[in-house]
Amino acid sequence: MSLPGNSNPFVLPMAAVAALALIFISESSYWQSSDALLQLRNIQQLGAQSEQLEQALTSAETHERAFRLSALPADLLPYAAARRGSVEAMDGLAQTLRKDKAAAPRLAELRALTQRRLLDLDSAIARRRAGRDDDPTSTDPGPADMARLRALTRIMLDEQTADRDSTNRSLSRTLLLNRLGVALLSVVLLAALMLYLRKSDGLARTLAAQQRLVKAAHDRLEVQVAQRTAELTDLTRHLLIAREDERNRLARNLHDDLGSLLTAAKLDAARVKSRLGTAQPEAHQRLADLVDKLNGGIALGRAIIEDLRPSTLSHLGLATTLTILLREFAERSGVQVHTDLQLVQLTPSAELVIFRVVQEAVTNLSKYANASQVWLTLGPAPDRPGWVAVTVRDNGDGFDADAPTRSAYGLLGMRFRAEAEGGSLQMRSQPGQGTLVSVWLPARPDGSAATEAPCATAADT
Amino acid sequence: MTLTLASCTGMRHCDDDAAPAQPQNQAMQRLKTYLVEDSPVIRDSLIATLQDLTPVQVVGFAVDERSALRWLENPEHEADLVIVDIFLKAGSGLIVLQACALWQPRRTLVVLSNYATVDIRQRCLALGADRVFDKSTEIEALIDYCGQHARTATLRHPPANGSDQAAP
Repeated sequence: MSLPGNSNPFVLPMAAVAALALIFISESSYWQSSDALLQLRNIQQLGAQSEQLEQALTSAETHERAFRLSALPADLLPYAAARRGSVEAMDGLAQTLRKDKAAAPRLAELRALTQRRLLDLDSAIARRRAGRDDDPTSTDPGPADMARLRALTRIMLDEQTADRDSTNRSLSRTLLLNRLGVALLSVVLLAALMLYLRKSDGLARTLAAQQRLVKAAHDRLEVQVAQRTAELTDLTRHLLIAREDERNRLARNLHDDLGSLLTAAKLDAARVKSRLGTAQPEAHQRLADLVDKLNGGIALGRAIIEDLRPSTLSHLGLATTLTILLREFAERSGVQVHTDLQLVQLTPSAELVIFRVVQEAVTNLSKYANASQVWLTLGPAPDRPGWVAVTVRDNGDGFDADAPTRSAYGLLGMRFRAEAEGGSLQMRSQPGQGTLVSVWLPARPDGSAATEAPCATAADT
Repeated sequence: MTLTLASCTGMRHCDDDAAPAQPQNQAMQRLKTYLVEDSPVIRDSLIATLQDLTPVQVVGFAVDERSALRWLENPEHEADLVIVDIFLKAGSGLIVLQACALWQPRRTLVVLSNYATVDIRQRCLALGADRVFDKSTEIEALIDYCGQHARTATLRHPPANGSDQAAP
């Protein structure tokens, strides 16, 4: 299954190009529209200024005539104002058309006409003041100049209007293009967005599907691991029990068959010895050698049997057996042993588990702990009624309980033994703080203690 | 599981070629001994050896706790000496020992154990045993003790005929 993100690498560049095109079109139409607006304003201004010029000149003419007729100096004031107004109007026109190169010749002509007209009026006024007035009705080139001036301004206005129309056409083309472009690009961008959304939706779905697959595989594995672990645990328990059974059987066989044979052989030797009488000293010597060898065989068999299964456990009870175990350990190792053993009711298999755990703990601490003191307690669990607690504590080196231990299998074995009996085992240790092994096992319900009772009572004496 | 006197004498009969033939009346005056031992090999050898070397007559035996108790609790069953093995096929010799010491304190109780450790010895003596012998290393001592005990017992209660002829 392909990743959808990789299927079309052109979507993003295309979207970028489209966006740039949109910006370009939009910008160009903006500038074109603002040009057109400026032109429109210029035309209006032009019209107003042309009119102003015409009126100012006409007004100047009127006041010049009035002065010529009246020769009153008061009439010169409005003339001066009208003259100033016409100069300002001319300057305004020049200002408005300053950017229009095509209008420059007409503007120059207009300016020349205006100046000439104003000079004419000025000289007419000057002559009148000098007293040699012309005939006010004759030889006035005013109307011709004014007509020419009006024609000029109309031409300029027409030119500007024509210019504006062409600008408007191009503007409307640009706006149309802009509209189409915006619509088209919007459609394109919308399509791209939909495509993108669909793809990311598909991507999310694919991702979710993959996650589901991974989770399913993970769950299957978890179940398998749990199954395997349970199988291994069962197998380990089975092996431990089977080993204990096998040891038991071996010990019994050795005890019953080998031990009996050797003892019987010794009995026979005793009979032979009595039959021999005192007659044959060499035969006596041989017989003594034979008995020695028999004793050696008996001692060996006994050591093996005792190692396989503590015979005292089933006959003297747990407390005595543990006492013997620790006493022998103390004699062997020199470690000081403190025991606090109370009377407890346990099944034989639970007793064997406790014995094995204590044996393992003692073996471990004699191998690794460097301890000088060991405390062993056995009794009803103080905080769990109906349970028996055993603790083995030493003051040795201890170890990091979280780190993999040297005696990991021994510890595991102890734990499995305890769990197989329905109990639990806990080991606490810190480097330099010694080690504490605790085992809890369910006590045996009262009433089934018949065979063990005399041994237990005897253990107290 | 208990063998009565009849079957015991039958066993003795098999042993007759090894043991010197003894007059019936003399056998009657031997020290009556009951044996609690589960191993047939040891039992046969022990019976043969004791009867061969000491003035002891094995009047019966048991291989487990229950049958031993059943025989011993019967007051009609006479036995002066009871030899008990601690480790039995079923049950424990310690219980036999305890019961026997309670019921008939006059009986001499001897323990013959495979693991006569200090603890076992103390336990047995505390329960009423007179002596404790290790099955493997103290067989000779047991034989000596039985011989000694039988002679002193018969001296204390002399039979019609002298019993010192039975000594090897």
